[in-house]
Amino acid sequence: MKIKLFKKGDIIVIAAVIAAAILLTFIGKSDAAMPVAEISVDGKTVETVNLYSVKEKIVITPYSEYNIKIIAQNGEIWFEHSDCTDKLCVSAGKLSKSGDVAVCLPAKTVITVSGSDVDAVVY
Amino acid sequence: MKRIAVCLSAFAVAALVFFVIYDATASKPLSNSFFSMNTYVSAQVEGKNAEENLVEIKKIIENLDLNVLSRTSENSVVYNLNKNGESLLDAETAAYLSLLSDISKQSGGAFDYTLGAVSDLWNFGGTPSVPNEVQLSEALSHSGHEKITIANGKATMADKKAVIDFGASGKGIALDCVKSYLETQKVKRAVVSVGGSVLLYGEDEFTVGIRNPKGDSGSYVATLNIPENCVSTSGSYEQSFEKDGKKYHHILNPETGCPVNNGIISATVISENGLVSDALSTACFVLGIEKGFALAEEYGASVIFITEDNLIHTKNPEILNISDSDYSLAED
Amino acid sequence: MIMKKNYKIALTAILCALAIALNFLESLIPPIPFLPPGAKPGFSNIITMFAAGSLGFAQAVTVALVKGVFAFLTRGVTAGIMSISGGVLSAVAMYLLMRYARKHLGLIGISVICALCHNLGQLTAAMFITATASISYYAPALAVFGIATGAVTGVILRAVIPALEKINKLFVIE
Repeated sequence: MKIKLFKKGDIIVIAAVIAAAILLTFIGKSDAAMPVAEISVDGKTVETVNLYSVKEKIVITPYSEYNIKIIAQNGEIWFEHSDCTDKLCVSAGKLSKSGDVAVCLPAKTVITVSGSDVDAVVY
Repeated sequence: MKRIAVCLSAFAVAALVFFVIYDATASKPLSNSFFSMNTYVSAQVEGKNAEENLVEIKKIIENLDLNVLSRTSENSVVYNLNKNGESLLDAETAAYLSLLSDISKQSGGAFDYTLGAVSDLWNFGGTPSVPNEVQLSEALSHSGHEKITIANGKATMADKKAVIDFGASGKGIALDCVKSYLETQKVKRAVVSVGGSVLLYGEDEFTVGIRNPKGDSGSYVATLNIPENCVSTSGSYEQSFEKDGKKYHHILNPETGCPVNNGIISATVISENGLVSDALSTACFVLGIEKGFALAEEYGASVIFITEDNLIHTKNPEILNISDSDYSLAED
Repeated sequence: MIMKKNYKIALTAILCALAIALNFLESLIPPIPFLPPGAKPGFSNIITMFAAGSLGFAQAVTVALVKGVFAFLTRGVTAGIMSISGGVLSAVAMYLLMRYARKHLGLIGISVICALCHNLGQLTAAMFITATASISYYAPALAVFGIATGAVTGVILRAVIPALEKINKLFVIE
């Protein structure tokens, strides 16, 4: 197996990836002021929570193959408990800003935080 | 070769560190919501001391209600004026009252903050009922901005039966108080909504939705792209009741004492001044489209009317973006 | 280097065992802050790379598949699908790069691209499983993480090639 550790082409690859990643970060993360959390199970939205107005604790238990407990409080939302094996969803921690995502793959449950299109609604 | 590889790895690690730091320092807007002034208040602040700012904003609004606007809190300016016919004023409150009287005058009485006796008859906030003509004309005789005199740090009521009511301007005053506080703070951006009247504070443009007058409370028919401002809407959908098949809403014509019926279902006013935006939204609703535009111009404000026939009337279509296809811009 | 079929199979099996062992060791690493939980350095890629470089396409894919089956047996269906989709995609990329791009790319460049392919495969699988496109929010962070781990894997690979080739030699009959 004769192959060099490093060649000039590598720099191009790495530079291109970093550029793409930075570009994606700035495009993807909108600084929308009013975060809205969407909970979906198997692609279907089961619950939407306006994080900007959440103060009191809200407990959500979406219906899925596993027992899942999601809590929203003080502008944050997180997986509090899950029966799934790896518990990666719980370790994803608290979500609060637009672009934050927590996934429980076994339960096909996703919490996505996106920004509302408007800063406020006058009424 | 090895040296380059080391450099490259170092570069990759540096990029990773950059991302971690970028992620951690991205300023996160904090928000808070609470009930005060008999309405829902939500505030969102982005800045160095956002947490402290939010606490202070709540305090400011609660104190304003307690000391000035509330009709039930003893020792408030409004309570004293209504009960004793006079009240001492601090400089700010005196300025607010003078501006309110000025708007009353300029609008030819279409905005009237001394209409409390009439709105008490309708009692929209409690158990509403339709008053009879005798009751109405009696109550109307005790209203009008000329019933109140503001001089030397004191407000005096010429008519003891007149009732001051800040229902159509209190939210705007609250926004002004919050705004003058924010100006003393290091705040990058803030959005404060007092019962649907909104203060937009800070750099860059804001996007604000105008509530769908015929839809849910969260839905909007159009958005406004505007810089720092105050925005208020008066809508006939807000407080209303039905009696004998007839619908009555809470925006009263100070001339007749009855709900305005001129085809307008919502009037939104944009102004740098919260009180102006709040008071003018009611005044423009009452005055109608033509006179409303003229009044707004006097105060350097913009108005957006929505009428029963789903038309949107404005002199500033460039800031407006209609998002609901049921509505369209009026051609006038 | 001429290898008989049986020896090739035996070597592939040893590589599979190595990949599984590395995979297991990695699963002990706690979640890394600022990255999606489950992001791992991907050291078992070293084995897949070696398989692609010295044995061939089928062997590299076999290692990736076996690793996926191991994940399926020990950590469940979703983990298995994730492992296979990432592993196979990166094995394919690795073989193609080793074969056609070694003139322009070094081990670091190749392992970076493979790490990215691994992430891409996993993200795509996750998007299908959850039917949610928003998981792609993770992409930029994963890409940068991929560069770091890819570079590290490349360097490690360089260092362990002599050792791996020793295993190889045991089976070579001159």
